[in-house]
Amino acid sequence: MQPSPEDPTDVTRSQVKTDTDVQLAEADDGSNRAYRFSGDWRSVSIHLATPKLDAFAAKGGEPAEVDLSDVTAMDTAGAWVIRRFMTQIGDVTLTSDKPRYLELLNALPEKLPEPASEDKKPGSLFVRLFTPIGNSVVSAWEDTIAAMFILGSAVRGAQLKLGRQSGLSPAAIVSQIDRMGVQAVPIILLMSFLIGAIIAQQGAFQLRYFGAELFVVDLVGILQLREIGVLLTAIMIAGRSGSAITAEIGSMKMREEIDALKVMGLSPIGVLVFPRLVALTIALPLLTIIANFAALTGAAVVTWSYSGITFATFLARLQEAVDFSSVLAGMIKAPFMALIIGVVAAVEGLKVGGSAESLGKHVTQSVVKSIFVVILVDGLFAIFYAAINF
Amino acid sequence: MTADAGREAGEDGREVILSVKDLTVGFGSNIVLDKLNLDIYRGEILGFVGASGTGKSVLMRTVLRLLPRRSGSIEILGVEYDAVSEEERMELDMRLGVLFQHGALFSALTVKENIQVPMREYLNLPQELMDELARLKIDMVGLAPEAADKFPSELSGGMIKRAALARALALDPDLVFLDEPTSGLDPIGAAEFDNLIAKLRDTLGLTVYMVTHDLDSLFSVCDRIAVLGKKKVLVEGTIEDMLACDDEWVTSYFQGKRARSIVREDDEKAS
Repeated sequence: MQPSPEDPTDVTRSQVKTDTDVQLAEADDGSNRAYRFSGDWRSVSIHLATPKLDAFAAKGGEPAEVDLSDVTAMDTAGAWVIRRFMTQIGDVTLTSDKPRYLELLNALPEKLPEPASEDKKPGSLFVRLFTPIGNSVVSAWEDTIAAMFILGSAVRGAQLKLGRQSGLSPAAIVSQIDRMGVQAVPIILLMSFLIGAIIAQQGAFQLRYFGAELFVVDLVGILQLREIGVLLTAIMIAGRSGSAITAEIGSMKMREEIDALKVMGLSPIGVLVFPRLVALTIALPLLTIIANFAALTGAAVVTWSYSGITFATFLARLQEAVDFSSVLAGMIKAPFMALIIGVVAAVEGLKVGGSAESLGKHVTQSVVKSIFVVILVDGLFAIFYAAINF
Repeated sequence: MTADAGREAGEDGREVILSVKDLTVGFGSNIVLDKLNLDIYRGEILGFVGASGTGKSVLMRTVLRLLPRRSGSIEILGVEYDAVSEEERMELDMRLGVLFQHGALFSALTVKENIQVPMREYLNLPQELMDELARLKIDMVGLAPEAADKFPSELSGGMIKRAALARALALDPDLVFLDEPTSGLDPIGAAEFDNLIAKLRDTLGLTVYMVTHDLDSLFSVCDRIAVLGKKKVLVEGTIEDMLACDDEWVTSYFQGKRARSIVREDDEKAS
């Protein structure tokens, strides 16, 4: 049945606004009770009348008539409210001069189907207290296993296909190095230059008290080469590339692209994670070198302008202060940091579920976790170096 | 309201609910739609077909103002969208429902919350009533009540379509756009979906704009069919008109092997 515009009573979807969207109950001497609905019973206006309706529903239970003759517009929401009212009242007869309203009302179910509820007993305080702790321990363990799996797969190499010695794709690695390494150069340069300058400035001010301003070169040189250079570069790359890896892998997971790789017999780790890991492991040490040069330049500029140490003096002092082991101590850490960032990002990316919210959550987790682990590992290296007098 | 004043009656006195006139849409030098005209009447189910890449989606997205147009006018419910105030636009948006091809459910919200998004935004209802209405819609589109608290990622393809339809119907719109509603559904599920749409049209007085390639849908529920081709509406009319049309593409579409078997079934049923 199609609505017929030539029938003026058929105003199911009338857009004429009627403010009389209230309803009345009429009872003369307790007999002939009728609930007269009038006005606009659509979702936009039913909230004006529902409190009244609820009050009637709470009161009345006697046989009554429901009259919809004065209703000018009705939609499912309005029909549902009336339907619900009728069910609550119980014994009612429905009258209306507009058949469409009756049809709409009858099309609605008398009662909403209830979902089969599973009884969930709230656990004891002990259970509720320790469940989250247990969960986080288990998930930390699972993360470790996943990280080891990714690392293991990466060590085994890219996907080894039948008849091919190696599925290593140089193009993928080079393009990743470009994205994660080359394009990060400007920001790393700027950041390291400023860090070097700041450390040198503060160091110079403090050392001035002891008349040992020249030793600011030792301070900046050793600090930057052993610790700060690799640490800050790794943090920057974790924020810049770790998040990108997680987002890329995560959105591929969401769109079943990872599953598509799997059923083609390709390992997602070999295809997606391995090139990124290799690229990071190459790019991060190189970026660290750039960062070190930039920081030392920054330091040289600041010591020259604040303390009058010329570049020649700076370089001469640097040569005495810093030996090859300092440079090596920092550089050895770089590939480890790269692996941490890549593996954590991949683990988080593969954990992304079906929703946009979970993608956001795991990208955040990826950055937070990799920065945390990077700092932790840096501390462990410091303890280790101290123990072996490196 | 100005909306009613601007509304015009169609040929047989029926009200035109969507009127597209001389619409031209293009990207760069590529003209996708050229001076296209289309009318949809209140209460009908219009099936929209066309070969892949002829611009069915572009037309729908342009009508929904997701794509810019070069020229032409689009009047929905008698209102030219660009010519009215912000408030009237909002009112217009409330009266449209869209079922996107892949559902486009908000992945971070449950089905119930998805349905309540437009209600929350536009209506002033207590939470309890909104919950009931959401469950009512879920029931209307034929989903199990347990689906209410599931997330879209936990639903099957057919369930996503139904949930998206429930969301499209949340505000009881006048005009519903369905983009391939039955694609990816099994034939029984697709037939149920067709019946559902017909039932909703009958009870709620919906007008349906349906992009579909499902010949069963076209034959069983569509009142009128429009064929898009050569950058405009090639032919529009009932299924009989389609069968009588002598355009090459239309002939092969509606009289191909797959279509013929459906026509035969219908004839057998009729006799």
